[in-house]
Amino acid sequence: MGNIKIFYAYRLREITGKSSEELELNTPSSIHDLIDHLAQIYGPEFSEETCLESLEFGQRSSFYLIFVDGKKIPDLRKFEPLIKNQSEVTFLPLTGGG
Amino acid sequence: MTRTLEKGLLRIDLSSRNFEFEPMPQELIRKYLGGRGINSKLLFDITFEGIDPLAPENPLIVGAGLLTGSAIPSTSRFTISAKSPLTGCLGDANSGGFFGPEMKFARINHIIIQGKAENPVYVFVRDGDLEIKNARALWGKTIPEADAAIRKELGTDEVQILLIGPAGENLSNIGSVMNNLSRAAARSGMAAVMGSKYLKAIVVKGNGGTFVRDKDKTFSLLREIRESLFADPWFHMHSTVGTTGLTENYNGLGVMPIRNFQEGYIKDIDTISAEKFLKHFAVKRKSCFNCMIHCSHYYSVGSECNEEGLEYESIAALGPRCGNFDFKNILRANAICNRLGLDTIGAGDAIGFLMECYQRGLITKKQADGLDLSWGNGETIIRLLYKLALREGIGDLLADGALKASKQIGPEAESLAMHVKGQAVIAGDPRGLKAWGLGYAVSSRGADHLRALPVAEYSSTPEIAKKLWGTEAAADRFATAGKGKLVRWCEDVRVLSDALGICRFMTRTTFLFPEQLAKLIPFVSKFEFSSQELAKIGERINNIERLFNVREGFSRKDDTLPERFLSEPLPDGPSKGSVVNLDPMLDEYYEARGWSLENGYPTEKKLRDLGLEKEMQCLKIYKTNKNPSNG
Repeated sequence: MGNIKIFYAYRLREITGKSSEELELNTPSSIHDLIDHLAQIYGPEFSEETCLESLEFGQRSSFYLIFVDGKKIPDLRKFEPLIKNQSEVTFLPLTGGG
Repeated sequence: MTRTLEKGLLRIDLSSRNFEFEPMPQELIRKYLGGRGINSKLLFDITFEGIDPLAPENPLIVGAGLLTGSAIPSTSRFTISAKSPLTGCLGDANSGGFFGPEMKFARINHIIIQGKAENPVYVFVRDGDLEIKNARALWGKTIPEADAAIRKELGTDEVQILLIGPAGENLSNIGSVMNNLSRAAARSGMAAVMGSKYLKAIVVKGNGGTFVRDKDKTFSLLREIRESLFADPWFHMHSTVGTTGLTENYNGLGVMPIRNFQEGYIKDIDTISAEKFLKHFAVKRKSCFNCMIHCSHYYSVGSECNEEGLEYESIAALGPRCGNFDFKNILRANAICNRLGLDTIGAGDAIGFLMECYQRGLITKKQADGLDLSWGNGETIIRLLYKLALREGIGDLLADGALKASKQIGPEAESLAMHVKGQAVIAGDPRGLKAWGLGYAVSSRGADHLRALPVAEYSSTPEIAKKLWGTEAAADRFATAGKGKLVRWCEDVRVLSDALGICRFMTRTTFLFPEQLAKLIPFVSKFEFSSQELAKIGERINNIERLFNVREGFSRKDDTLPERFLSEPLPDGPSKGSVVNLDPMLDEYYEARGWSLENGYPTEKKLRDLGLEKEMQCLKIYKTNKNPSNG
């Protein structure tokens, strides 16, 4: 088991009722392991929200950008165990500008 | 009623009080579309090397986009251009609201204002007629006061007003030109150019309609656009939180400009989050002309402050950049900037800079008129905003931005001015967003994020990056590879939205590609363009802007970033340890542009390809053949 820290933004804050939390997780884990784990805590709405897609550069693309230790998960279809003990995972909606 | 383009160009000489409505040259539209595109071409043609930005000859050009005021959603945008007193290079500022569409309803595409009035004036343009009116009683008034006084004098609310506040009157280079009280065209010091002409306001009233080629087909297109938007979660997010949602995003990326970019990340961002804004301060949503996104909000901070229009940039500039995390104070400061006609980015940058000077012992409390310049002192921030708009005491030092202030404080202070070509860097630290850093460095109006808006470096997938910019690394925000091609591509696409007058939010996804934009144009204008023609127009506008700056003496040496970004690693957060390696990105960018790697000048070959031979001949470097290689 390892301790990780998670940051939520936008609708995930409403679903979880918090902006960040620390939790225990079997590490190393993939981002899918984490989303499954969080869906067990917060219900299927959590995984449905993180699976939303938006139009980006002419293609459907994941609406949530997920960063593990500052690096974006490049492809949600991959299952590498990127989350380690003490990792920080951030869920951000796809946006930009100023 | 249909709109005509026969008399779309209005020239005003404030010195002689003459004006003329002229036909809009069709060739200009075919080569530059409108808005920023035609503005930049007119600016290049009318000005000359070394022109004083505050001299009567420097033209102030107000241009509506080709599609501004049309049935296509989010077509509210217009651009104000002039040689910038802030940077000395090409200057422009873009805004939404309702002024641009009203220009179109008055059958005006572009207004060129030269000369200087003897006393303060405002101009009132109405369907082919113009009055130059006395504004002596308006001089010194804030934006809401002057707006109300003009409406009262004209006896109508059915006008759109573009105006400056005390900051522009006092020739502050970080003033903003306002419309609809809180829509700001704030960058590049355009308000100072307006103030230098004794021009308080431009008032427009139009009775024309909007052109639609085929009503049924256009309605069908509008239905498609609406369905496409409503199906996108991105649309729902922006229509709910606007850009205030970026506060968490940029902090989550570790790129917040905390304490003048000394840090990029704060653990507890909740005090200034979008959630807090919506829950405690937002009253209702507000949109610009014909926009379904309605990203803005009216907000209230008790009885003392009711305002509209809060953007991420304003939160970050008046907040974390100054070490300030008191949301109420940030909201008050934003409202004060709107009322005084101040650029929130430029003002926050100047104050953050001064606070770091104080932190490092480069300026004393006594020199700062007794103000406590400790980080996060909200009352000091508020007092400094008034002082710099009125050029009072220490405010006079700050009124032209951090770079000019640093030159008076001393050499140690210069490295603390976070600028490119004199214009403040926006609230995204390029150490964690490398393409943004390149975009700031090469932007034709000095540090700016909207020229390129390369969100792709963190939002696109490796597959998209490989397909469009040749390498998956272009979608890795810490990588340098691919960023030159990415920024060039983004600049050429983004400029089309400025020339057409469509909001960045609409062109960010739904109408991003020239192929998508080409399909829209024939429905609501009398023109048609192929996607290839549009792509070339985008490139041509960026090259004419580069030529303007080359004529003013700018080159590769000026396409750089503050030393902090190049050599001081971010101390904490998700971008910890990162700096910008600019030179390889610049090389790739110039190569992608067809510009000289040595000095960043466009090559003759590139200029000929774009049909800019005549413009090229206006520059000494090409006449004397000291230009870059033609390769």
